[in-house]
Amino acid sequence: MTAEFYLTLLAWISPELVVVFTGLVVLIADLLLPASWKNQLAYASILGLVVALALDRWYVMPMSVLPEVPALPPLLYISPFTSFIKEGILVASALTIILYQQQKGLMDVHPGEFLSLLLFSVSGMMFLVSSNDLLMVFISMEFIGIVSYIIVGYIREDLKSGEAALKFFLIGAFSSAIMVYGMSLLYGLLGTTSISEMGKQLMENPEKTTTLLRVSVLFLLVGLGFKLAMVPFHTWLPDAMEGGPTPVAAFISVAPKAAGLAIVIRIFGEAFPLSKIQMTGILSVLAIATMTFGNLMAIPQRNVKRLLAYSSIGHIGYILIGVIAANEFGAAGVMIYIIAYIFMNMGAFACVVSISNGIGSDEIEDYAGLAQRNFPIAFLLVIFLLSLGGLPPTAGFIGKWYVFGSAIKAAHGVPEPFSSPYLWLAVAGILNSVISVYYYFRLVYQMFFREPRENTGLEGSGLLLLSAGFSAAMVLIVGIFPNPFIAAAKSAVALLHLWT
Amino acid sequence: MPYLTLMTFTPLVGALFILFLPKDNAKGVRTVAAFFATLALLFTLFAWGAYDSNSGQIVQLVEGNPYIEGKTDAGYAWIPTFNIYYFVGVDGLSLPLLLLTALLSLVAVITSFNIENRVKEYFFFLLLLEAGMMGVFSALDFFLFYFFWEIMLVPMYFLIGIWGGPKKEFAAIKFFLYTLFGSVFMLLAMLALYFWSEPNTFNMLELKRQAGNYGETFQIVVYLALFVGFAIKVPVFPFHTWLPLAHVEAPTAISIILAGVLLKMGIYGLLRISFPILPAATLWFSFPLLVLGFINVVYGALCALAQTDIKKLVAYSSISHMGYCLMGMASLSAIGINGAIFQMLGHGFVSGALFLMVGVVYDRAHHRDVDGFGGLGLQMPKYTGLMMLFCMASLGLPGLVGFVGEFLCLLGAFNPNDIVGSKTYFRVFTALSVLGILITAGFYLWMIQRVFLGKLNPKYTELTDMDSREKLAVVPLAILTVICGVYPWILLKIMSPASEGLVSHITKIVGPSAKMALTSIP
Repeated sequence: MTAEFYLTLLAWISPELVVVFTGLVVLIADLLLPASWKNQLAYASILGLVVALALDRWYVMPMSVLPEVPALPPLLYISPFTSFIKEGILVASALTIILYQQQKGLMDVHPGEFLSLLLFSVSGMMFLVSSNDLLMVFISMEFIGIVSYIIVGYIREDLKSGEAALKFFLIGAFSSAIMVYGMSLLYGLLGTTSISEMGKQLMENPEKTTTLLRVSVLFLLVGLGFKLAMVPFHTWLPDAMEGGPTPVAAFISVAPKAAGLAIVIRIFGEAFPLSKIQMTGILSVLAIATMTFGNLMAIPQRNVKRLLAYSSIGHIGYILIGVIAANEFGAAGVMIYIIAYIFMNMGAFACVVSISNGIGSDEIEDYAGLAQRNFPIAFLLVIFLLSLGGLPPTAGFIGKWYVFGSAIKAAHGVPEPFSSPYLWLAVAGILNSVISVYYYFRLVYQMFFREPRENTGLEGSGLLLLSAGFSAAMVLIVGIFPNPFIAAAKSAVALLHLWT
Repeated sequence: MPYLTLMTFTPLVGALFILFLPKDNAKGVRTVAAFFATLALLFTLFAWGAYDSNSGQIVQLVEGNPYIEGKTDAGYAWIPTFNIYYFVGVDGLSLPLLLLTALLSLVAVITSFNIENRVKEYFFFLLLLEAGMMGVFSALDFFLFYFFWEIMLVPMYFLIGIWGGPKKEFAAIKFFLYTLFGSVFMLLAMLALYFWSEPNTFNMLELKRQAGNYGETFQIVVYLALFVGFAIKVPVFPFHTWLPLAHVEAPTAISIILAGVLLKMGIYGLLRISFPILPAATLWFSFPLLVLGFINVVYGALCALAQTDIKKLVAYSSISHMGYCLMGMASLSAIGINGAIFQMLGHGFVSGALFLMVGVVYDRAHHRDVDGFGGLGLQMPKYTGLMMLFCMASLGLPGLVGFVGEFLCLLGAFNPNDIVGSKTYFRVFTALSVLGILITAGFYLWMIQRVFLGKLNPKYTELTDMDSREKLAVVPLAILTVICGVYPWILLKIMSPASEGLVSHITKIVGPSAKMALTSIP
């Protein structure tokens, strides 16, 4: 291990380093600076994230497609695919910090600690995305998990927040134990923990696909499913999102899932293709259960945060279709869906924060007549809800179209297309999106069809409106001119070593 | 001149323009809306003038065709990674419908001048809706078609839900979910067509060219998925329950659009997509389609007979009239398909006008109960005259537009294309469907008798006749009703090449083997 090797390593992980470094700076600055500087801490964190994004975009990603790629340590995997997801996570985190800074009352309690914790968890997600080894996966996931437990329980006086954190922690600890067990079994079976190595092993020795291997993969899935909030490991999410501060709810419904999906694509795309280890059926059942459960449970909710929590479970179900389809369409579809989901969910939460600052409530009933009190926010929220519901001309439509397309493409590839699980996945997906429109439009109904209870205008903060406007612009750009994004996703997927 | 792009995006520009007008300037909003709707109508008339029905070229005014010979990058690429192009064009099927859309949208805008509540939002959504409808009828790329098709739903939801009648919220969400339920199946069908075509494409003309390559099971599955989407829009019998509710609760102008344009989209989709791209399935489904059409005709008429609300009566009569289109199409003959297109147009003029007229009396009397009036002919002679004209057109009086459509549809169904096989059954159902005409005449005449004839109800001695704005909106429709009824060739000369082309395309692909495949159908 020469000095040169370490320098290359530092170059590869420079965006992660910037994020960690910003976290440390913010933590120390909070101790040294007077309390009146707290807003500057938030801006410094955003700056750090932007620098990391720029580094990733114009330094690391070009490096990863060089004709002679500098040596990567075997624990890491970096390619345009990982950069794509990481950039999404960085944007989501920057938006989260804006929400955090703008929500009433949050900045009064140890802003430095909160921001540094958030930044540390972002670095954990970035490491998870570029993991090439189950050990690395485990460590990053634990890192993200521990930080998430703290930030969910951040409002110390609020019992709900504490309860949510405890539930989150207990289920998290339980599922990571099972995941580690699965990992150890896989190591025993295949003699390696490297994702790319495991794939090669199975490709060369198909007889190694035993029942025990499938069971171990299922164990692995428990941990990953917990991170994605996939049925039946989803129970923590609604509580964590309702109990935790709203910006945290926005964050945990988006960023860890993006990271988790990236690693799911790598694990099931390269190491254990579902069709090769005959697990398409079970995962299809789980995906259909996830979307159906999430969407049905969202219908009776009265709290916007809880509604969005269940809806995000539903969205994971749709995205899993792309994972199960296991073709290049599926992987690219998942990437597009992640980008769409980041912008539409963060945008929706920006509106929710803005509204709750004004009316002091997250209950759906209290949204009555909002269009007449603050038209811009209501209008923007409609765009996000349309996108969440998967209607054109929004990003959510392109995402759904893409993942459902991957299922149809997979059905085209099998001899009995009309009885394959792929077709049923697509049918379940479309029926669920009809259900989802019903509950999303309950919000629209309150905002536009009902008369307001008070006839005063609702002041909103400019920064929140700006971030919601930015998200809406992105939702519409991805929805109407998706080609650059699709082209980027396609070329990134072409460089993945998908085993199809 | 790119007329099609202009007429699709003019209303959109108008909608965005309205978004930036001040909220209290209701007059300005109305003027802008009327201006852009008129502009769109003008572009449509120019397009009508530019369309040459004698040229032998069926699809004309094409923009962004990716398959111009010798050029690989000819089209307007939209999502080139998926071979999706901004590709529009018209033929004898879509051009009349575009004209209908532009005309009825303008009529709707004029009718809506009496909306006082949240004017800016109203006209924003109305123009957005017009842009969506224009896009649906001009798109020749399936993805583009679907895009516009879905975009249309959202403004409709708001227009019914905010400005509608007592049960508006329920009507709005029912309409929205029902239509969405249908269109998501269309999404899967669209994706299936894309992946099964070679090379993969969403281009409707290219898919049509490849129509012979798809297996029969595949065609039937895709046809049924598409049919769910289109049948809900038509609406075909078991899927019709959203219609009376939405039509009755919607404000007058929106009922005009719903009945005049949106109902046509189902038929249009079948003729544009299902028939040419899936000919084997079309043939397989032609007899069931005839039966469904027959049910629509009779069931819709019977339901209308039972109504006491005039608006509901007109709504159910629409179901009945759409049934004739289905019967005409099911025959797979040029006459029948001509009849279907003509009937769509005729129904668009007439039912649009009828909803408008119902709105006029509702604005004055604040109810629509058939038995609540009486002798209005004395009080509102002009209104009565026009209303009778449209009722007669709707019940199929010769010399008016309704007769031509119904006659051609039934003529086609009575003498279907030879490939269909079981001609006797077609004839039996055609003969039975005459019952529908009879009932239709019954409920219209009975309605006229109760509302306009007899003694004047003393409550309504104060009612004023139609004002000039209302006349401005309805008189063009009355003129068209008469002209197209007396001289139908004005429309048929444009429609005929398209329907003949479609029939010969289907016959060519499924002709020889058709009779064997059809022995299973009675």
